[in-house]
Amino acid sequence: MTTIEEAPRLEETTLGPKAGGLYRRQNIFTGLGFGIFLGFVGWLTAHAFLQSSNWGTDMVVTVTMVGWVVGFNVGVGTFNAPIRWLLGHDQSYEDELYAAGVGQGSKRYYKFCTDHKVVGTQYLVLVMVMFAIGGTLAMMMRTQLITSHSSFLSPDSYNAIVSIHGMLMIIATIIMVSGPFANFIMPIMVGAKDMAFPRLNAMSFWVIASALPPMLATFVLGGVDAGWTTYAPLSIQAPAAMDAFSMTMITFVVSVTVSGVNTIVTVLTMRAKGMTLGRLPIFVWGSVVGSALSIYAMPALLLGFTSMVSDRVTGTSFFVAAGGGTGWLWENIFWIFGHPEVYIILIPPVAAMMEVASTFARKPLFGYKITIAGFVAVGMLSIMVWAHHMFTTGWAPDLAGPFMLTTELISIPTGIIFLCLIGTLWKGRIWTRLPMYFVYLFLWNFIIGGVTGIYLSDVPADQYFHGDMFVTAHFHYTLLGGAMIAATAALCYWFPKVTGKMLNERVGKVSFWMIAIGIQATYFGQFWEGFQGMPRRVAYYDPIFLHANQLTSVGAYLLMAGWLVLLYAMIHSVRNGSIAPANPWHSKTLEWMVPTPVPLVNFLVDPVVTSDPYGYGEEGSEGYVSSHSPPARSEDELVPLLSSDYPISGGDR
Amino acid sequence: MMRTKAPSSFSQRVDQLRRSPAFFFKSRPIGLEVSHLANLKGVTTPDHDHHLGRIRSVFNARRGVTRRVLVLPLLVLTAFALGGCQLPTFGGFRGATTQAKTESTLWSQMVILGVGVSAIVFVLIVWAVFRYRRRDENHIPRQFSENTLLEIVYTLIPCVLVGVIFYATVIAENQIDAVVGKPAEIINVTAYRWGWSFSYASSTGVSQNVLVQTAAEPKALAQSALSSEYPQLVLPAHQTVRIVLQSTDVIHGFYIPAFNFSRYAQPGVVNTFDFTTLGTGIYRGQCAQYCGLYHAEMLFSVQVVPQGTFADWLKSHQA
Ligand SMILES: [Cu+2]
Ligand SMILES: [Cu+2]
Repeated sequence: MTTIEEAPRLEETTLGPKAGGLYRRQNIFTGLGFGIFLGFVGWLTAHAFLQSSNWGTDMVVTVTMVGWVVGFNVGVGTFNAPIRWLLGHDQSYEDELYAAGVGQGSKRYYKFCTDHKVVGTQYLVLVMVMFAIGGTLAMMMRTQLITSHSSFLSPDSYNAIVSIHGMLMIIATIIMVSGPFANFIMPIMVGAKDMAFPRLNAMSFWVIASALPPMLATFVLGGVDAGWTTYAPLSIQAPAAMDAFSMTMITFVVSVTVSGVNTIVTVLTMRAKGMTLGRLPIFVWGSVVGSALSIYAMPALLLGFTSMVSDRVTGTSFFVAAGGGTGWLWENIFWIFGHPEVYIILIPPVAAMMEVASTFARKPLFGYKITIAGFVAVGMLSIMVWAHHMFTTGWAPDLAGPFMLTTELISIPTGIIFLCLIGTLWKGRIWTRLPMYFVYLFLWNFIIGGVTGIYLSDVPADQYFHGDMFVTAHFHYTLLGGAMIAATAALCYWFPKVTGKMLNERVGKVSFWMIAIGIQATYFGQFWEGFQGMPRRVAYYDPIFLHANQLTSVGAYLLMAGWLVLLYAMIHSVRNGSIAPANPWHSKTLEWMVPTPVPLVNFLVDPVVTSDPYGYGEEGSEGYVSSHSPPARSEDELVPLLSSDYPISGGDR
Repeated sequence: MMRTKAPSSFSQRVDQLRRSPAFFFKSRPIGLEVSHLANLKGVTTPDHDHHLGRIRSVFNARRGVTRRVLVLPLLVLTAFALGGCQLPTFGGFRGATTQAKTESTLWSQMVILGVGVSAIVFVLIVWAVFRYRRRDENHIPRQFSENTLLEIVYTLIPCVLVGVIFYATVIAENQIDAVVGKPAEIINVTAYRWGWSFSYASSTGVSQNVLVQTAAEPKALAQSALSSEYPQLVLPAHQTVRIVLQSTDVIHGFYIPAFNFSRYAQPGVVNTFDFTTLGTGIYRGQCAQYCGLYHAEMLFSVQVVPQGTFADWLKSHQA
């Protein structure tokens, strides 16, 4: 074994007093300040010059929101480097080190920071904030629905809450894995020192962070009175909140597109030596397919919402029947985004969970290639199914058959992925730690979500269930019971690497059971409502639905409480948990080969990959990484990485 | 399958529909532009038996292999279908129209199939969870990662299942979508924020127009759709009626759970469909597409009454 000189630990470098330039003075607060300032300037300008015209309030709100988004990002430093470049001053090496967070301790988490691990952590916090808000909104809805004609909420605030709960959760689930884990973990998995475009990476975070306040501002702007799908022409007539909402969506598209491109380029160009495409861990494949899908789907959303803003502000009539437009156009555009979106949400967490399954079963992923083919097939098919959301609209009846067929065909690759997951567990030696609990919960929930999805793809059944609570129950089973639970498995799995502490499993298991039972009660209740024909998005209902609704509400409270217990477990563990070893699960993928906390450039020694990522305990195998294995934290932990007689006993540290 | 030129008249369009490959749904012409509405009367469309025959022949024409693969599961489904009315509905409605009964039977068959498949997968999971949990820390499981035969098998099985479901659905949907030449009654249903109006335009020009008081506090309204506070759609029993559905403002959903049916009422669009009623009864109806403030209060009831009563009712409401 040759000795290799370690790269210097960059985070210990001392930087000159001028390194970083403007970045030295910027953080989230300058962002807030400048965002509010520019928003105000926008409001003032629009008020002074534009309000007298026909364009009115919608124009004022739109300009204000544009001012806010641009101002916030200027203030936080998103555009520093390109602007300096335009002015003829390139970033110096020291500037780049400063931007990567060198010498700023925990302050770097509040700044525009190009280190992918910081960005990943920022995303994680943002996602949790979004879930907290979305969950609170859900609790308000369930409280309203605990009796049939409750006066807890007025119908207009109930409707506004329904809309924002929907879209906020959709955005949060889209970024819940591709944000935190595709940023923090994925580059290390492929053996990269950072993402391909670190500045764009930081930009994707701060842009989406700036999209959240306009979304919450909708509550004071009259509420989004149109549901999360914002069907035209209802959305064209909605209050000014709709303009802020559109701006959120447009900003969100920018963020997701940027991060999608970044992920794909990173995987294509930044892989370590020996990391062929056939040796990429499955999560990397999942991230790539998810990103490719979002690059396909997001332009449709952008097109839709810019046309929407145009209809509302400037009086065009893309979606207004009276002006020659049609609501069908919006429905098509929205679902051309909206169905791939389901798989943008689903594929990365499922792929992440397959890493979990393989690690804890101590077996290679079953059907690696067919799983990848499955992801690709799901992605391709998912762009050809959008009109199954339009079976009851009367649009293109001749196409109902073909769209039903493509939708049903999706169940084939999905089923294959599902069975590969079971095949991975099959005849394994399953080490049942907390992440595995969530894998099991996923399997259960996804059977229900998947099968009810097939029913909904079926035209006659869809005409029965479209627009009623059955649909709500179905997609919550897939997106919450499926994707979010898979993401939770991934969170528990990577928690030691991200935070450096072990997650408290005893509290974690309490939360698991609350979540598991809460989901079943909540959404079985909603299926029951659906069978009886209770429509979605209603603030009042016929008393015959009372018992089902009470079951749902109680289940939802339990579910929310379960999430809060998990949050408590996480915060408690970060504060007081035991220090995590570099590789607590004895996994074979690269992220576990680097020390915890992960150094700035991840690998102090360049890794060389010599085999597939899942070679658990093969006799005489070299393992995943060659003798150039990067040093883990201690000699003692190095042994399992370098020798072939793994696994060693006493894994339960 | 692609249309070469836009149909210039409604009858031409129907013709084209007739010519389009029957492998997919031969839907009735729903969602025509408003201008076609005038041509609606007197349209004849082939009855559903005709569709059925065509679809079967398409299937028969396909390779024998396809047929053989489909036969066994189909036999199982047919066995269920023959006992049609006896199938459990799994919480759904039995169906108060001929079309709804077809849907209900299909639904029951699919639930049986779905529960069956899920049960098998579930047993596999439970087996894996308990049988393969770690007992001995040092035991290394066999490191297999492929089984080509197995992978092929579990790709083929879902293909067959999809084929079966698709075939069964095409048949059912053609029955549900079929429109008759001469409906007993044509009812114009107009949805608006927040109410429904039903006018019996075809025969006697009766117009029934019941408003929900939009200004009223919702709590002041009755709690059930069956209450007389809400509009009532009166239909004759054992007759085929045609609904011509429109909206004056935003999208609404015309939803009658007991008919297992919903359809959008969308501005600029006219959707038409038939119900063939069975016995008498009263059913809940409601808007199923979110339409703003009082969406939850956009209720109506459907009353299927004997034909004689219906005739009297029509007379008494004649303008
Ligand atoms: Cu979809
Ligand atoms: Cu409505």
